[in-house]
Amino acid sequence: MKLGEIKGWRRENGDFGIRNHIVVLSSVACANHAALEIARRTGAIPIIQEEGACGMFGEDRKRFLRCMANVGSHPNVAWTLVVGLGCEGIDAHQLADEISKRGRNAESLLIQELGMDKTVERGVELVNRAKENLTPRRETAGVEELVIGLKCGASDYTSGLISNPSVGKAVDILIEHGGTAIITERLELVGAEQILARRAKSKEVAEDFLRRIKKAVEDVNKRGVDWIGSQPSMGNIKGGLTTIEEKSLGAVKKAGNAQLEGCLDYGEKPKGRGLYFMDGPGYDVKAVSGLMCAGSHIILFTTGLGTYLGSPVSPVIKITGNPTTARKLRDAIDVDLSVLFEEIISKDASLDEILEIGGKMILEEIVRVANGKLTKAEKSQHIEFSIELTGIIA
Amino acid sequence: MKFVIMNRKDNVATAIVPLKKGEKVVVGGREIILLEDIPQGHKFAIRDINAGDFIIKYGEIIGIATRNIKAGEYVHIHNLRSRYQGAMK
Repeated sequence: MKLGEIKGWRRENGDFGIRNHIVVLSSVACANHAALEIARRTGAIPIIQEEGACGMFGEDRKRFLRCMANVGSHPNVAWTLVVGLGCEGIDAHQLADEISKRGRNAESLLIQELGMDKTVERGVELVNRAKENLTPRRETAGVEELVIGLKCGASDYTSGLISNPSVGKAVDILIEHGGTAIITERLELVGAEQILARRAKSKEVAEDFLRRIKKAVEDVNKRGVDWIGSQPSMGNIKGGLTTIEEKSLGAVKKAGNAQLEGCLDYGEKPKGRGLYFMDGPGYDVKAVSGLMCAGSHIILFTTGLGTYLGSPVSPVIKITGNPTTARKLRDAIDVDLSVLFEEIISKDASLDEILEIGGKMILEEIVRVANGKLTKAEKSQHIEFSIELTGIIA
Repeated sequence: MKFVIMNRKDNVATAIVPLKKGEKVVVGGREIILLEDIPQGHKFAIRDINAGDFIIKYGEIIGIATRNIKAGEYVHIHNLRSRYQGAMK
């Protein structure tokens, strides 16, 4: 299939973006107020923290810095203002430096240096100046520039039957054209891990992947907790799913049949093209935020029962195969594959042929969204954001 | 189609419309009578499965039968458990 061209923005560091967002990034919850106020007065996108740069040790400190620097240097971001309080472990100036090291422009303000009112005033001035410098959408690129994040949430039987395998068809074509996709949700690959491991580029990649999944299983089991009710969730069970294996075997279909190129830590950007696994959680907000930090231009989000979640800078395309969800949650769903569900019921067409139609519908939507069409979550300004941290908060 | 079998190795099928107890379905030329109502999106056995056998969907193991299951019986969390659930105990 022929895929259309994309018009967007070529960044100073060579990246290609499909949005041109100005972001006000709070670096710690203590600075959220200032970031929200600057955003409110200017129309910039606020990214606020649940926890943020304070009281983190070791791995979490590294992870936070990586995620925030990747947000500030995200290809869909034109310019970033980092706002911090001043006494936190990783200050806003340091974060802005990290963004600059990635070849992108950022400025920073500390509330303890200026006071709240002046921070907001100065922030508004800086954002307005950045807005004046924005350029129109004009550079042309192909789909090989795109990094597509993959996520499923509120899954039911239609996820593994229709929407996930349709995404898999789209991902296969995208990767054949040189594009990149990232699957995540470590616990939702439990029971399906061999399918991806068999497709790993090398023995090392397979081992790295299996080690990460094994650790995820051990982390659950050493707490002596029950999988049922959490993985799968009660909603999943009501929707016809029974075990984590069944859920995972449906979820892994999002990754199509491509070779697994490598594993990424949470929020880490892929080093090459093709299919990657990001070691992240299943919880929607933290999974989508991690995929955004990893540089996803667009996130494909399949859903059975439906959700409205968005992301500050990566457009989220909602896909469902469930006719009831497509009807009830019309204001959430971008690609309605429930027509395919009706096809399966009414005809004896082969499932594979039907899923190819689904893949094509998704690819066409990717190209439209990459060219500026707003997703439902963008239209309703959904900007949920939360980073997965692992350890001690002081 | 009223139900789908994802892979020819599977021993369960997924109802894509609600199916009624007593309804007849044909699987691989063989007639199966449904022994229970099957909610939309849920599964039924397409052959007899013994307690301890693997339940197969997508051609892969989705869990272990916790009791004998007859062809046409509803397969859900009451007679199927995850292999990981077992590993925990």
